[in-house]
Amino acid sequence: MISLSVPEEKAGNRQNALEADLNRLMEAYGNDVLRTCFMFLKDRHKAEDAFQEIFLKVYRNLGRFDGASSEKTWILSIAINQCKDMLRSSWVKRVLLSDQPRSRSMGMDVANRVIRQDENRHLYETVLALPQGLKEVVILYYYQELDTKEIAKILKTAEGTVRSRLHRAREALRNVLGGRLDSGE
Amino acid sequence: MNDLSRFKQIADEIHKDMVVHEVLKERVRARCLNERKRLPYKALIPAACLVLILAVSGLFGNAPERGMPSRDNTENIMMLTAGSDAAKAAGWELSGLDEAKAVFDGKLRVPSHMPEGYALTSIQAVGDQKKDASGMILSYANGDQLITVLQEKQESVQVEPGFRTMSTGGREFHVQATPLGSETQIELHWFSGGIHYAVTGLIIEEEAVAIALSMK
Repeated sequence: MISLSVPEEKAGNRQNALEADLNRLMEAYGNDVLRTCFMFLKDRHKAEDAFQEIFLKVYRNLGRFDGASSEKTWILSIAINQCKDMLRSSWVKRVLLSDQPRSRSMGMDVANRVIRQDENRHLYETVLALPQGLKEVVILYYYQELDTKEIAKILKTAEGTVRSRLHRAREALRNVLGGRLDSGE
Repeated sequence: MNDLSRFKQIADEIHKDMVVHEVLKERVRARCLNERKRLPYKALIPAACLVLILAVSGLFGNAPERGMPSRDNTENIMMLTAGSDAAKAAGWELSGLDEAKAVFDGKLRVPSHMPEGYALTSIQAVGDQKKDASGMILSYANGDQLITVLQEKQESVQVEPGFRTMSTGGREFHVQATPLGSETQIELHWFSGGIHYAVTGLIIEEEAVAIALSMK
């Protein structure tokens, strides 16, 4: 991993190095971060707002990044917290009313979409309709391809809790998808 | 068969046009540049506070004795310098119910009933930290199980289809039960005195109602 700290550079060079690191990180993780934000916020403009806040925080804290976790884990941790903050700011409509899975209406959607033979899109939309606590572990595990230990670190919770949420998420998906789910377990 | 292990490929295919364009990167760089320009002044604040506090404590004869740690001064400096970023946050953690009642304009209701084994683990305020909170989130945990009690200053919210309306204990509730695997998630909403309340968790409807009715 490339070191992010430049303690002995002069101030100007240090700023240039920070900016170079920022550019490198936006290049390396930008698309993944933007897409992850979209999956949480379900709105392209809000995902781009979140992207700006995330990389501003990355820039502010570059000098303090100690390499205790990977760059990816560190940035995703900032990204998840940013999305949660944005969801909380209008929590009633998004967290309570819009983000909850609606199995009954979803069940009708299932039939329509299966007829359209668009299983991938349906799986994607069903994941996005999971409650936040389940959705975040699915996105981090299956989309960001992190292991349960890294996810526990990002969510500041026990690894057992992550495993339990993953199990419940798969069950919820099976329930909505009518058992047609290969989770790769 | 839906293949969850291929979720990354599936999501990336759906998002194939969603890429970070150069304009977006430039906006980030511009904001970082603005931050950098302001940084020298920010960096002087702790030093200025230290000088001020030492001067004031010296004037009033409260300077620490030589060789003694200046604990109070350190705490004052931390208080003066910690607020800037935190104040902008949309949500923040509170230390206890007394603080929650104060920042929620005295309108906070706390349930006196909770299912056995659940304990209050988190109190989060929502809104502008410089003013009163506009919302409050109380989280009660029992191992991995979570019950969330939410309160928001809002006269009414459009209730989405799928919610059933019921009356009990002199209140009107909007409730939705969602099967999640072998469990069921209950979501219960009601409005009272300009506040929108909600209880949600993997509990039975009767428990959610009992929690709601205990909030006085």
